[in-house]
Amino acid sequence: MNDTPMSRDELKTALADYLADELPPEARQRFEAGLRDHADLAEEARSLANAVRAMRALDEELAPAQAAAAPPPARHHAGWRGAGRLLRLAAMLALAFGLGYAARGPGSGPGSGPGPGPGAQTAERPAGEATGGSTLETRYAMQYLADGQRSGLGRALVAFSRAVNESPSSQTP
Amino acid sequence: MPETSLESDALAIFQRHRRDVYGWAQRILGDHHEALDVVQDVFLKWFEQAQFVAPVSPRAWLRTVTTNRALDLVRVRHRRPEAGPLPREIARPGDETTRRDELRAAITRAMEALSEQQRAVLVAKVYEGLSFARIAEELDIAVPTAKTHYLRALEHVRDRLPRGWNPRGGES
Repeated sequence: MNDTPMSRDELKTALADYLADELPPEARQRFEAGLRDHADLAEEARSLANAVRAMRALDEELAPAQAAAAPPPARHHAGWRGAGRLLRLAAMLALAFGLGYAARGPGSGPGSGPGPGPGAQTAERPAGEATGGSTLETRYAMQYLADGQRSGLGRALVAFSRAVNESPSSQTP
Repeated sequence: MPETSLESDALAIFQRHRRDVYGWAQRILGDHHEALDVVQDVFLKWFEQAQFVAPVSPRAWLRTVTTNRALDLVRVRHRRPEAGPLPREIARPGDETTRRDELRAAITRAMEALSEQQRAVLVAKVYEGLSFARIAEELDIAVPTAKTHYLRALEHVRDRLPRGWNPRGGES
């Protein structure tokens, strides 16, 4: 068994493993013995370990902070921030797909394909119905969402958005 | 209507990783709602990308995109006009909340200064406890490179910690 303290070069090479707790026990002993002969490296290791602890200190506050910040579990009430998030989702969808969609009009979202696809089945729905008659972009976006529920990606996105906004477990992950 | 493979795959990825995505964002942002915003943005991006080609390592992809997106929001915060200092009776320099906020701000500033790979290694190592071998595999880099990134990233964090920060008492 080698119990010789690590040399300066060995210490530098092993520093990352030491900080990450990836050194085997014997190597760890040799590392710590080597630090006793190199005060500058010992200080370096101590200060970097302190940086790791600082980052992990934010972890310790994560759960209690979430519990304190989380609104009461409510399956169907995500509050104004949740509503804002849904609108932003709609806007992002409009940005991602909206130009071509706006040019073709409602009913031409992904999944509807050429001609009167599944999305076209909702094309006659007044755009304002879903949006309360907001801006044109939002109306297109909300219509897209309505159409999108009939397409694979759109349905996944809507289900996803509901999960983010409404799941009690997502409010207190 | 039966679920498509794309839908079920995407939703499975969401269910599997959403708590972690939230956690990564929350550590950087310290705000529940902003973290949820990031969750949405990140998975939207995932859904868009997964239509074409799914990343080899979804978790590594999600971690990188989440960290970058959260830091984007931090930059937006920095550009907002300052609201001015809190009244003295609210902002108490010594209290625990203020210390935590200072610590988070310092760590966030350090992370902003890192390269994308350094940041990815740091988050994977400190917050997920992955081995260097695993991180190197996920990021497609050599193990010694992952270790070097880790040390450089920690140096950035160390150099930006609030003065007198002490892991036991919060400050010395």
